[in-house]
Amino acid sequence: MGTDDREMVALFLQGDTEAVGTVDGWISRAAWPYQRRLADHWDDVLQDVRLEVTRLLGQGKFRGESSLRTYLWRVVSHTCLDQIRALKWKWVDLEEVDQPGSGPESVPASSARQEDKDLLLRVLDRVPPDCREMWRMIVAGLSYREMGLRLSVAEGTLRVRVLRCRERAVAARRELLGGPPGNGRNNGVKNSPKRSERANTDDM
Amino acid sequence: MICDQAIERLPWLLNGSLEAAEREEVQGHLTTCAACREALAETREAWKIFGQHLPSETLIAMAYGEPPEGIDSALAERHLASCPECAAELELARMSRRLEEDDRIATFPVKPSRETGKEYRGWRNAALAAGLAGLVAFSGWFQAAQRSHLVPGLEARNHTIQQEQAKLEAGVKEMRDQMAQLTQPQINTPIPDLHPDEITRGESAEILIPANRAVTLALQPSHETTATERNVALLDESGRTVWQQSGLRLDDTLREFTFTTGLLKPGRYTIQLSTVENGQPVPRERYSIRVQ
Repeated sequence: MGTDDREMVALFLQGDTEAVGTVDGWISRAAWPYQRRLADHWDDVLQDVRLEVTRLLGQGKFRGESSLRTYLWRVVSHTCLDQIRALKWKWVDLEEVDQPGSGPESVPASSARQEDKDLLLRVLDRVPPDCREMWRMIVAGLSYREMGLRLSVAEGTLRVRVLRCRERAVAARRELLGGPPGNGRNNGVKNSPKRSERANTDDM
Repeated sequence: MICDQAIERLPWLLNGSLEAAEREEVQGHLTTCAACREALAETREAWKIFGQHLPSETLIAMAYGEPPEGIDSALAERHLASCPECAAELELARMSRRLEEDDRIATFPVKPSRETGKEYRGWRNAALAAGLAGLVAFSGWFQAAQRSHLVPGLEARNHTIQQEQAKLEAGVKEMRDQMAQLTQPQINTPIPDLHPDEITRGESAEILIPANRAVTLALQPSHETTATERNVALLDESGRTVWQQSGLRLDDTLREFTFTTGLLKPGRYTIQLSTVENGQPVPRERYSIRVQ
């Protein structure tokens, strides 16, 4: 860590007006590209970034492996990207449906926080692009009617295709984890003749 | 609702886009069907898989040209190629890095919040409306000023045109009268003898001709010449040739000039006779007349 950076950190933590102004200027400039995506959350995110920077510098996380300016720049980008992702669509809580043993909290093995992100990315890599496209729309919150209109596909056909994509993704994950790939369908549900027929017709 | 129908709708149950009645049907089915709840768990698994993106630290590392940690580089590149969201976020991180590296890159002020934006748009619209009204008012004033400046000139031109029109109408009327006279027999046409000026020198050599009547001038040539070809020219006061005729034979046929009504305007005229000798015109007699 250069003397200048060390002094800057010390002055910033002491509340020196010039040091705080310099760091705040860096933060604003580094965060500038993200402001349009953050839209109405921009002021709150900027404040979060200031708090995060103060926390990291106060805890001595900055070790001088890069310049203070570059370090702060990366912290700002990291925080802004995380905030952008936090604003994305999340699935609806189904407390009335999720019984003990069946809810998202009860399947820690499948939690993204505990799973290797590399594994999930590899699973995703095995799924056809059109499956990813359809599920991207679902994750973005579109209804099946909206998706049907966008993709020019009948609603029933679309629902079956999405189901097939789900089965492929789950089967790919099982395969990568070393288990039997199967067909990804849950074993408790038998395919009715009608569904099998439609699924075969709409299989991609 | 049967299992197939419920399972097909699970992704949209999770993203909250099912309509109320449909959602209640699916949820009602799920509370009674363990197999479909298992399918719901698989749908959540799929959601996690399809909602997977490169970690933000990976994107930042890539923005700084560093290899991603914990993730295969080729896999990360493939994901970027197929995920527009990650590609866009990487571009944001790269843009931020460029701002770090080059202080000369200017950044615009932070976008105002929604409320401030509404206020700003309100002021902007008001300013646009005021500007538009001002423009309309200015164009109206400008046109009025132009009109007030142009009207006197237009009136003067209109007066001149009306005068010209009156003159033309009078001329047309006169021409019609003359034409009417030409179509009628001429009674008592004056036939004055016209002597050359050199003979009547010292006296009033002018022959008065009425302007509103036909008149025949009987020329009394005095010059003896062997030339048989004569030229005749009628000159006005300024010496301008009003009419001329060349190659006339000097015999009995060249004795008289008849001026029809209105042929000559009031004024003094000179009839100049000349002979042609050795191919050159030689002036001879002059006769002065006055039309009044």
